[in-house]
Amino acid sequence: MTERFQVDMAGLVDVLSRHLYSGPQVFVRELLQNAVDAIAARRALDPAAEATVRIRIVASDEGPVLEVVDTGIGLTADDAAELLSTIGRSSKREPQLGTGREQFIGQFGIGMLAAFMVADRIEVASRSHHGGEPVQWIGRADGTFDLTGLAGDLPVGTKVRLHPRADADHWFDPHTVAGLAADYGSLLPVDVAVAVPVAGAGTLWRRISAAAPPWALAYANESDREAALSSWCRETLGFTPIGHIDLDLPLVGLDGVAFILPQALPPGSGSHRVYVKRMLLGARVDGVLPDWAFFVRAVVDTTALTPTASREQLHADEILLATRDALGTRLKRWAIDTLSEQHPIARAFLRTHHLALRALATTDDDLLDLVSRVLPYETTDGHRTLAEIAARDGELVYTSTTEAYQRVASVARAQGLTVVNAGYVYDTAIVDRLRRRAGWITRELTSNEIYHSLEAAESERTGEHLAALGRAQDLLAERDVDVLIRRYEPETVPALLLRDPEGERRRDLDAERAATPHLWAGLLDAIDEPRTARSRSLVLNERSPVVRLLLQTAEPEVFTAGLHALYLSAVMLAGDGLGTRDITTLNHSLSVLLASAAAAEPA
Amino acid sequence: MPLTPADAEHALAEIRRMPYGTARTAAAETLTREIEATGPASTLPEALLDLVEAYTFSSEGLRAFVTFARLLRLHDEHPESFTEGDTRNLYWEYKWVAADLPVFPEITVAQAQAFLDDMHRRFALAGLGTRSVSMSAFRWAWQAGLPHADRALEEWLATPRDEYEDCAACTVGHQVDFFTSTGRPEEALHRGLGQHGTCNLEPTRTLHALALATSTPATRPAH
Repeated sequence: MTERFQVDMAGLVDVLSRHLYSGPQVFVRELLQNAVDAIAARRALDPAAEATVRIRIVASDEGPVLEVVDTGIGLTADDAAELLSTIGRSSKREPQLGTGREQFIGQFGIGMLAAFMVADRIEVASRSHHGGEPVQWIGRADGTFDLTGLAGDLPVGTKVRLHPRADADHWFDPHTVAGLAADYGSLLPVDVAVAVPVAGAGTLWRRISAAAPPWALAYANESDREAALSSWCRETLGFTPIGHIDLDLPLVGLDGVAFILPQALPPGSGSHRVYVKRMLLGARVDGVLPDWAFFVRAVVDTTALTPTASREQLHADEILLATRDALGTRLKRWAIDTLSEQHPIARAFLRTHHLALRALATTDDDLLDLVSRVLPYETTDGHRTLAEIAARDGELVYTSTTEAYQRVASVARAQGLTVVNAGYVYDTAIVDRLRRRAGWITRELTSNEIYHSLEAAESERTGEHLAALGRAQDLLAERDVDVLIRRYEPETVPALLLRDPEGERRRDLDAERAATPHLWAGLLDAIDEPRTARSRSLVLNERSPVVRLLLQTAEPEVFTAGLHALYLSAVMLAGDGLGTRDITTLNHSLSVLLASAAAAEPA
Repeated sequence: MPLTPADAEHALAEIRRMPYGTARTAAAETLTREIEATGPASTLPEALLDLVEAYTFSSEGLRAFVTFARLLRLHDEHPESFTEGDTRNLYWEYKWVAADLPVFPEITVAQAQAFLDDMHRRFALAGLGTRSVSMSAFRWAWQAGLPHADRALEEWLATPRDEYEDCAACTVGHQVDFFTSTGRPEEALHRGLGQHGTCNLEPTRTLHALALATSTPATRPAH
């Protein structure tokens, strides 16, 4: 025997509110959508018809009632009878909100179903544009309904009345409803107003919809437009943007703006505010812009993108992918056009979003060129762009960490050598990418280069301090540090610690080889790094009075202490911390130096 | 020598295994200071976030304000040092710190409001849902005894749900607590009977509040 399924309304509504929609608040959107669809359907037949939606909370014996009145196409008795069967088959709700009557009826039902998230009784009173007597449909959360004719002279259109569920009465507050209606419907192309109590003035209608989106309105001039968009962004998105970028893709019926965030955020996929046919789809819709666009928040209205079943996100279909690419191209175009000029927005943008720009430069050659031309880098010759340095010096010499830069900056500056600090995130990738571009020569600074640029010491010719130098080399050999003497500016830097990346790799290799000599049949022995120098070099500055004092010290214990103190201060100058052993050494050195000073004092 | 990133991760995980209390707080403080001084910088956000947690759950919320302020400054100056997980955790812990606003009498109304305004600004800037913000604003208004607590409750409940708010069971529990503590047992009952969820606090908090509510003469069942 064939039977019919029984649909449990309460259960179905629960599934909707918990699993389909982000929350019960969407009932306001669904009611608004029904009203504007009905108005669109009527205007297709009668372009001069009134287009208003009025929402208010009225008191009744059973508590507050939410009333939504529209001047739409209205329902005949047959349409209303279809409402229930519609609930069963309304999944075919078309994303393209057609203006035909059939689509309107098909969509009406699901809107009512969403309303049951907050209501336990819904009354619909309606009169159709096509004539016939007014009808009344009363549906209840238990799944029963009554359909009756309605006496009296009702205007064409529909009035929906919601009686709250016991646990949902907080949705029936006029301020709450006005806030939600404004959030969802502020860009709707019809006159939507909500009645709100105003202190000392009773209840007033507040119009919540604008004639056109703020980016599509006509303004006296560009600065008025800029100001209007900025203030709209502040009110709607909660921040004052640095500026905006117009987005316009007629092919997919999309328009809107991307607001530039006033502050940098960690890289990540951003979410954006999306309207479909001027109704808010969601304030946090994913996938509209490429992941690298984390420096803007976009607000767009579209007619061609497909919402998901909840109508709160977009389907990740091919149209969305193509849209995302096209919008990405638009943003890159803006960056290249705007940032090349001395525009106030360009300066603010570079200051705030250089991280985003660097990220982009690692993926796109046009933006790579842009970054090399406009982004100031820290160099030993002040803040300069990469292109500036390459044009002047013919090549780009850089350090790949900020620590390495700090180590050499003062000396390189004194030697007139321009070194770029490429220690910030993405910088090494940018320099690597530049190296592969025609016309660019980039080179990481090696420690060799620094001390070859330093002037040979007087003592080297005279051989004066040869013995002292030999002693110093022996003392620091166990730390894999070589010692050299050079003359360089500034004389306030007594010693400089240079690192040799190759030497450091060799040290790692030696350590591994010593720890596991038989691993892989001695495979590690086959990797022989060049072993020309130690991994670090301490370059003593012959110009420094401290160094000259040290080199003249005869007392071996004091010499050792002085050398260690210079070595450890060079370590700290290089930005490295001291380990436990270093601190012990430093303490010991200081006590030797102090004891020696005390002994030298006249008794 | 400075910690390697792996060492730092390991040390943080060790501390997370400790029970909340002075020992965990002391360990978290020491490790955070070391990471702050010698790196690795990439682990600093995580260390600071863990320190906020240690303070918050051992009744040292006032100290958490200092650490959280440091975190926000770090986030503004070096957003690139925050991983996706750090960022999520930052916005997750925000409501914990906000919950301590009414606990300390040395925090003025104006200061608390400035904190909540800044919280709202940051959530909006990051494009996140603001339900945890409106919940925090309500809890502050209620526990500080401010006249707009009822309006703040409406605003909280009207804000769309998101991933940074407390669970559904706690949402009911807070309201029941609010109505009970402000002498409105009928409203407490009305909300509390809708409590169907469970978590590490619920339904105990709701049942406790309901027991209080129903023991007042006005609502005691007449039989």
